[in-house]
Amino acid sequence: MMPGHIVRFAVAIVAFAILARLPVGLDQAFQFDAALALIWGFGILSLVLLTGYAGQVSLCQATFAGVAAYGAGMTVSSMHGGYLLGIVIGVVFATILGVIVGLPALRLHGITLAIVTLGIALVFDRYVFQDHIFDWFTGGTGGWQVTSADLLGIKVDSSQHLLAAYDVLLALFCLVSVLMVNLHQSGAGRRLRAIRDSEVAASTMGVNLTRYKLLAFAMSAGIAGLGGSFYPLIAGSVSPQPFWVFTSLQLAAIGVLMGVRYVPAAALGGLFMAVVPDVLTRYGHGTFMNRFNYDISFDWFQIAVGVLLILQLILLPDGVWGDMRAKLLHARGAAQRKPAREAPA
Amino acid sequence: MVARSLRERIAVALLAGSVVVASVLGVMTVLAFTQGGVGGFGPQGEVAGSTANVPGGGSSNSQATSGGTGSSSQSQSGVSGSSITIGGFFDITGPVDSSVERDTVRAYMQLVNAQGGINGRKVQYVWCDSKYDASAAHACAEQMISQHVLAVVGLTAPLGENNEIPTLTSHGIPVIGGLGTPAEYTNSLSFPVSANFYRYGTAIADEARALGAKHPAVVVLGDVPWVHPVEANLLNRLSADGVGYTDVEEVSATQANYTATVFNLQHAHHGPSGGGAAPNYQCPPGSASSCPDYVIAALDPFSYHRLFDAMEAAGWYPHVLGAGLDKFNVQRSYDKEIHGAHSLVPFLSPYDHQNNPTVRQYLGAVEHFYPGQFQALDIYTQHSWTAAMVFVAAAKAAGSNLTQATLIQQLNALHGFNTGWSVPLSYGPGAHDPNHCFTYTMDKSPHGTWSTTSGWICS
Amino acid sequence: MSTFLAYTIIGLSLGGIFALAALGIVLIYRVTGVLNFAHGAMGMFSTFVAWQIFYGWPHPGLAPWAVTAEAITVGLLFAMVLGLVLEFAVFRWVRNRPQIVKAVITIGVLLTLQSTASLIWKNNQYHLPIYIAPQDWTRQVAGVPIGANYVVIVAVALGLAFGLAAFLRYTAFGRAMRAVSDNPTSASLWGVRVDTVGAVSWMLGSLIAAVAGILITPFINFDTTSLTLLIVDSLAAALIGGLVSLPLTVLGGFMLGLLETYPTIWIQSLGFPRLIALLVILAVLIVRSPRGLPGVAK
Repeated sequence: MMPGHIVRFAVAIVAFAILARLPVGLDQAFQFDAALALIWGFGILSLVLLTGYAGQVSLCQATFAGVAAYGAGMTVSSMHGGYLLGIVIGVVFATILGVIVGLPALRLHGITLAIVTLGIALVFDRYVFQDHIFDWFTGGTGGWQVTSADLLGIKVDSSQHLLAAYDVLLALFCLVSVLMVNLHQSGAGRRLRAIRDSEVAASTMGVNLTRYKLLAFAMSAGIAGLGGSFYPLIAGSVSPQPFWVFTSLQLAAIGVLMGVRYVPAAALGGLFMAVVPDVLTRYGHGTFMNRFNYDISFDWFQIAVGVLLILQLILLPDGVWGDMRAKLLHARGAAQRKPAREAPA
Repeated sequence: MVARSLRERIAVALLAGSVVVASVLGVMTVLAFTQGGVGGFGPQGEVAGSTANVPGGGSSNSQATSGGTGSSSQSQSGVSGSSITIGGFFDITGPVDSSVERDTVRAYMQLVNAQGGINGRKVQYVWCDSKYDASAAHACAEQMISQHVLAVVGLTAPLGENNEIPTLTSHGIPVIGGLGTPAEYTNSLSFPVSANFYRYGTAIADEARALGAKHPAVVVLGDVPWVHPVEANLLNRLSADGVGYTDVEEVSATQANYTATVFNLQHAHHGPSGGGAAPNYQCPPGSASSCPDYVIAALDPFSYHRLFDAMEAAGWYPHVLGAGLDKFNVQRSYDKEIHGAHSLVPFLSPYDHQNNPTVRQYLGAVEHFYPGQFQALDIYTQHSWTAAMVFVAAAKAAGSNLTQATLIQQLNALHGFNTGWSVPLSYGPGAHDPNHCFTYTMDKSPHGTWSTTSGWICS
Repeated sequence: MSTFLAYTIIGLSLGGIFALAALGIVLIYRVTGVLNFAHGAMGMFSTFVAWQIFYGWPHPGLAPWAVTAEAITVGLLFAMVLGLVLEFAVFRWVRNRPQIVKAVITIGVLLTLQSTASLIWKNNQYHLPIYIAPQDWTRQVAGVPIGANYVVIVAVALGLAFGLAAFLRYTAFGRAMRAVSDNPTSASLWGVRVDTVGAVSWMLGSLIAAVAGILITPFINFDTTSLTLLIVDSLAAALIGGLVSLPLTVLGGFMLGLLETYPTIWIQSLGFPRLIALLVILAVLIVRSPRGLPGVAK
């Protein structure tokens, strides 16, 4: 068998090639959704790292994305920097916030950590993103407007060049996914997993809890921030609503639903979050048998997510992807007479 | 515990269900692909509606959203042999609910369709929910563009419309109507029907002086993007008119409890956070019952209700001068505090002009097609109805050769267009600002009836 | 000085709301081990049901107080059914799972309830709430009106806090509930009917959520999300009580209300109080974390 990381890169490149051309024939609104799917995909990816690998619960991932979005917007609109600089600054801001959020995590676990991250999400949502004191950061009630940007020669913007934006995001997503899988298999990844399984045992084995927990939070926030920093470009402006509390809750819900330990789950989840509701609202109304008017709105989607989450947590703790994978490995293992190892796809 | 085999069965069922759903969605997406993708694929994936020349297919169904991705049933943007597609987006989910504005436009279009349509073509209305969120508004604008609407008519999205008007017009889509946000008045493809909010500020300040307000307190909605220049204008004008104000409170559309706001209006001296004249009058101690004597308010219909609740709880009944104050159904809970309140509006109030033909048609259509929305009618639905009127008039004048270009031409050719309940509207080349006039209505007894107290006051 | 007094009154009113909202969370946590993020949503749903009875359908010939009573009764009955359904369909099956899993399940419940309410009653905000006492029964204290509805909130919060605390400590059923929450397996070995206790716990929790919802909605926006958004403040108050003591939770609520209101004398901001709530949460958790919170596992 070829070395694991080469296989992963190859898979990533093939996936990119296929997915990059997919939205070409679709109209603008769907292209917007596709790009948005990737942004939320980054959010779920960050959860995979933080919760799936390191076992730290976090209900504020959308907040990290939002901080990066505002940071990028601020750099471009207020400080007139290039968008590339905006992305870097956005990610840096998000990472710094991640470290700050990680500090209480050093002493708190499980429920209490969830409560604190929820509180942080709410504070940013209601206060930092909306109060006039932070106008220098948020651009006031209208938020920053971004018309177009030049990323290393590729023209990207929120209406004529959405496909280019989508491709750039997709490339980054594939890259980060591969890196995350590599991380999972590396020494650092093992230490994170040790922390997830049992902090006491991990520290007994010599894992530096402080360093690795903060690292997990920082990287996770950075990943969410990478997606978020593209948001102003895709949407043309930044506002608090996409990054509010309920988005963080949705990211957590969909992440767990798809399988928070597995990277491909993030892609699925992003798609689920951004594309499915829009498809439903666009095509989900009409007349059934010429008599009954039906109208599938976003609410139905939310209900489905909630119910599926409940069902899944009761029945399939490893998520949709995790369970499919387990079955696949089980089948393969039965054929090869080898015990199924826990390794991501 | 659940038996393992049962678990597996349920798991398989879930997976099968997901596969089914995924296939359905896949089919839908593919359909969108085939219907919408025939138009030229630009290198950046632009859907170049203008280059497509696909013969009108029979794929439209009777629902108003059959536009889909559009180009299969349209040979030009928004217009096919038998139908015209227009659209609009509205903040429906969230703190404000503009679904009644959407339904008002739809009622008008259904009326028009029932009378034969526009030169034989039926009108279809595509709508999107912008959720009081600037980014969702952008997504909605993208949808309007993707669905090749001929025009955007009657949109009502307090948070998002200001940003998206340039987005729409940069694709050649004319925008008719709107709330009165600044972007509507600086764009040659935007055809507003109402007064600029900026003018509201001037007009209210002048009316405050005319009514004899001596020491008003001011409360405005603070969390809509374009409000600060309007607020500044109002406060500066009050100053210039020699009316000293005591306090300005900036509230949020999502703020629930106005107890502290009312307390501050009575006792505090806050200034505007975004520019404008500072408060320049302090109520002398012990004059609480007569100072401030007026409350000048610029709020959305739901917030008025909360303000008045808090005023009632505090037992405080100053005179009220409000912009756009008159939401019929919420009024039932206003009670004493609204007696004698003045409201500033750019359209005749329907309540005391029931024989006006426009009013009769408006009330009748909404009652007939959307009876559940009748109680929600307010000043902004009058904007939407007027926008619908303007669109249909121009579209009819364009005759059978209706395109975006001819529509815009006819819109610009409108002079002295009589809406029946406002001053006549005139457009022309360049940016448009047709409506400079207000009328004042007042709540009288029996409580709950509004009557017009002035003719048109124009600036 | 009178400003300070006025703001104290305003702060205590806010605190009463937090106290009432937090009580149900602490109760459910104590007897089921579930930190119920959906608490606000459950209360919201029952309140909407009561609203539907009160405003949605005509009641010819009934006196206003009778209509109120009918609406509230139906709302509370519905709440009990809701609690029962949740216990039977969801929480019964996850009794032995880690607390964080149970908490994430409540997120699923939250999303479902909120969206269902939004489908049925739409998302706008001009639903008129139900008032127990007429709105104009107010008394001015230091220039701030205190309404009878608010006094009802405080009375109910205090009554529930002490009543439930006594119930849990001194009655057999209360002791059974505590036993089940500590360790369902050994409780069942001791002959406690775990299923019954679980069902009653959730019914009671849902009932309190409904009571809180009906009493609180006159003071906040009556829509599908506002009660849920109270969660952080309620949790702060609950944490002050250590997630265990009901009377301390009420005290915590009042303290939080005051802490959130005083700064607004100088800082005009709608979001700043959330920051205060978060700081309180952090302070409580970090101060207590060496010993951990009583009853919080893992």
